Amino acid sequence: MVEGEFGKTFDVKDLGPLRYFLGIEIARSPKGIVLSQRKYVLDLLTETGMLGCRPCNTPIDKNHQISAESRDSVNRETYQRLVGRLIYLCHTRPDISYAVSVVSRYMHDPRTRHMELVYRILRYLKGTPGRGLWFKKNRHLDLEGYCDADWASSRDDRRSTSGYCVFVGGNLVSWRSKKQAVVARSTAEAEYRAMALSLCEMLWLKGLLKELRVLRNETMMLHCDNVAAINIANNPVQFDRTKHVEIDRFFIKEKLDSGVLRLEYVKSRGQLANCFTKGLGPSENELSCNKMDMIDIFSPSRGGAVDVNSSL
Amino acid sequence: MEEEMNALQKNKTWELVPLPKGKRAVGCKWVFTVKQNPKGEVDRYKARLVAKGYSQTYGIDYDETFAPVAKMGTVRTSISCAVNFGWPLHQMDVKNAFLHGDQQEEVYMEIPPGFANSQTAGKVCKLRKSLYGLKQSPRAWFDRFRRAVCGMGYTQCNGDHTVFYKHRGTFITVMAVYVDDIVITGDDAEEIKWLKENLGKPLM
Repeated sequence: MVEGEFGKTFDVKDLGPLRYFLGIEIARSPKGIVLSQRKYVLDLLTETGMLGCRPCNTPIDKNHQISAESRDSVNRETYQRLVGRLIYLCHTRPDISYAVSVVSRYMHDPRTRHMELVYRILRYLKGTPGRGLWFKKNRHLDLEGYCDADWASSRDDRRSTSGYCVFVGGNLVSWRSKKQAVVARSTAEAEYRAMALSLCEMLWLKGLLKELRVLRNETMMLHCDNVAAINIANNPVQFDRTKHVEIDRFFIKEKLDSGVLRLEYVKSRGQLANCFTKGLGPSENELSCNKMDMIDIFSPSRGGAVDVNSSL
Repeated sequence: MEEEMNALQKNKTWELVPLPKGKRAVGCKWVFTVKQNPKGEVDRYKARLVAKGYSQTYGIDYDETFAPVAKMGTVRTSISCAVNFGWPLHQMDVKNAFLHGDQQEEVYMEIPPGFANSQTAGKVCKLRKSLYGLKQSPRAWFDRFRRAVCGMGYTQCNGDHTVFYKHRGTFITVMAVYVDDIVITGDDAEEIKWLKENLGKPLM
């Protein structure tokens, strides 16, 4: 830096190929890239004294009946800090997204039962610390989304949960699990809101890719497992009972008419957004992780269906 | 600590002035951290002078503080692009990033602990550059960085303001910024090489 030219230069350091970014480990091979936060998970387990705990094969129970009133209060700061760390972990762990979204609903007034749920997530992480997202070379950048909703799932206020995931070029890049802001009166309505939410995200991603001039296929595909919601989307005149979700309805219809969106029915089995709206059983959870291309490069035996050694 | 102090002085981060009447000086302190690499080994020790920004008052000491950081969705999208097109991914970081931001508001700071001497007696530091810990530092830095890369012919992306790109013919270079961490990808090898060499050079 030349004296007198203060502030006109930056001291920039070339770190070479991308390997470690914001605590995310990036491993590249000719077959693709894997993002994982293994060190972050292990640090978290060490700090919480959970390194020696008994692992658990799902992050949350299938039919958890969690509510706001769950026994005694716990230290709020500890709870918030722990949940905050789990939220950061969600950057490479869509499999815990739903569980983390459930525990973060009680940040303002955490109880013993909620804390137990947090420890449950940690026990799940203990079993799969190195699991991460695998990005493969699919030679396209098409946008494909899955949306789902769990109707009236919250026991506190009967609001539904929206969930979606979006693939860009066959790789999972965006997902969300969110309790809806208003009460839905039917499953179709809840699905509808989830559809609008995922559509927003897809439109944003599309805009991004378009601006970079890398998008070739303009049509986005959105998969949904609710026939009623698809029907309403395609023909908004027929249902008097959905008047109150008008904005979402016309928003989706507009995108369908202009050809940028195609809605496709998907059977519940092929529904990838399932894991963002409810707790799954052990085998469903494994299946869901495999479908989202999550693998563990550190432990080939737990990598599921993918043969890690040949791919990396 | 010496290294940090040298960086601060080289940068002319502040000047020594008597504290004007009616103004308040924010405190400061040293923060020491041990940097680890991904394997958990000690990488280096680091000292950082931080201002106690929590004592600043909105409207008096600072106005706008918002600064964007790259959305993780954007980062993952860039990675998906890189994998699908076989682009390389590079990483760079900016040393002492926040010290490069230009201080807009008038801020006075106490003399850093351990550096008081006869010359500093009765004086305070009037900040010319932003410092870690100040409310407005991230914003000042990002603004500084944005002007620099736009001056290099890059366009700020509308979809995510932390993404900058440049098209040359059919080639493209994309840069995503997360405070002082920069990820670069694209198929324009020549441009990436140029960018890496010139990002640190005097620009404006």
